[in-house]
Amino acid sequence: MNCKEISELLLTYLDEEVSPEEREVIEAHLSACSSCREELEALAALQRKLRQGLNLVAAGASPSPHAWATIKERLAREERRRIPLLDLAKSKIREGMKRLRSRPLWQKALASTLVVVLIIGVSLLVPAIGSQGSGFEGVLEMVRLAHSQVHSYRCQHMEISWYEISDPLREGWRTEESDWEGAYSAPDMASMRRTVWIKEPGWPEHDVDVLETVYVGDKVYRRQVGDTGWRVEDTSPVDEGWLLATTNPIWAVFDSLTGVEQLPTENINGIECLHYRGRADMDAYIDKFSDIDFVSDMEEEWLRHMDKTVEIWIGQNDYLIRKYEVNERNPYSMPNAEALSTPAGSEFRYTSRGVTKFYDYNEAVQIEAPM
Amino acid sequence: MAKKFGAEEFEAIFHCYKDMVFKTAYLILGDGEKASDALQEVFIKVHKSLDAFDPQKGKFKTWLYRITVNQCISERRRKGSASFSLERLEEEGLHLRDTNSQLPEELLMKQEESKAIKQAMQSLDAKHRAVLALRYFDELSYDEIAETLGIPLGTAKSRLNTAIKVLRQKLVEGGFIP
Repeated sequence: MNCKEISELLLTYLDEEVSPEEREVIEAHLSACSSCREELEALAALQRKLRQGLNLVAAGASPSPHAWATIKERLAREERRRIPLLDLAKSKIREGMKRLRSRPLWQKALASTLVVVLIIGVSLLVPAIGSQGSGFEGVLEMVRLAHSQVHSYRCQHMEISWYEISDPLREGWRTEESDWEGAYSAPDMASMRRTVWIKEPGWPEHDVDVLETVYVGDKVYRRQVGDTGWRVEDTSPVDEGWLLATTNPIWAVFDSLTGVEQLPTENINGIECLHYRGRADMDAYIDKFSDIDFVSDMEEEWLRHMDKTVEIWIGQNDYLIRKYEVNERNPYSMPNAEALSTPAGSEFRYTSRGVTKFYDYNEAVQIEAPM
Repeated sequence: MAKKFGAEEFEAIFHCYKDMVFKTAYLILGDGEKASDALQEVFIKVHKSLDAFDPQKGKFKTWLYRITVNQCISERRRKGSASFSLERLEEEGLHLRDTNSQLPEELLMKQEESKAIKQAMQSLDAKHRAVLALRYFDELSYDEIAETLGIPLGTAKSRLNTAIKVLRQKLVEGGFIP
């Protein structure tokens, strides 16, 4: 080997990462070549300085003492984000019911009558709005109004998502299916049981996870399959924010729909329903959703590429939501964001279909604290 | 499959590895705030897939380094290089002018050197910074670096060689080494 070839190996030699054969050749060359010995010493000095320098720089850098609290809060928020649809209308209802419960009976009666009058009134307006399009905005106002008088419901959700991962070691589709059923009772009780099946390329079995959550008053109880008991926590200010007023994420989706077309009415569980289909304007959705919850730059970038179409079925006579379906497709290859433990440069693409059904509006719902 | 890790175990894992993740991210990103963001993102990801981690496929630390480096590289790709102005360096703890009179000469020299190294690091892209941080701060072997980055051993060696060459050239140009 000549000096140039040897110099290419010196770093590896210093790091003791050469083969025994290479070591022998290098050492033989070094014993006879003073310039390569000098180069070796210079490299060794550089390595020492680099080690010292990096350690000194790193010594002055420590994570914030609040780092764990921030992560814990974010995990709790992400957990809630998984179940956002359960809270449909909870906000308005919660506020409305609190106000209503504190009023005398005659005022409650008047309030209910007023709603009926308003529904009839807006119903008369809908055809006029409809003449300018599908009339969806007017209908959505009706839906908000109707839901402000809901004090209980049950719901079911079914979703399947596909993630295409380009990691050469795990090439294929990861599928994630989740079902949940939930119930809500005003003003502050809700329960949910969610089952998730995850199938990953290279894994023979589905990974099944069951999560139960119960909200009662200012406490939230959680239990996961495998847990020995319930975990109880206070609902945090973030919980409150999540539940409040215009903060429900599904409204952000409905409010962002564009090009909404009205389809023929359909019968859902014996109820004749208005049927609409539209596509979410993701810029508008991000704006609205950012008011509700924190959206990181990375999430925002990903959401901007999302193609999200929504169909919604609304009771023709009572304007209560009976069903909605969300189809999402994101061709944006976000590097390394979700495809965990994959080599640098791995990408994924995402497709999802979710259907949520609501029933038993304002019927008795029994929800109790589990402990 | 039942969850292998509960909330308490996860918290213990966080406290055990937070310094390792944060300092490595800091060396790659060159910015305390970005390193804090990376720390958060890394542990959110770890939490999401901890139960899917298979010890038979590799060591936990290697897996954690891989998530950390991937996070830092995608972060830098998205936001561009960190600024390494002198003011910035001083804000981050290298208060050279203020503390000159109080420091022993040896420590002062070390601080000057580390400042020079930090500045030289900025001339590299995130991938090359990552190999230097993994080798000379985290003390990973070449095999571990290759596994962490998901690249062949030969690529890891040549990437390290290139990183050292560029770094050396910058230090020579800055007059910090002959």
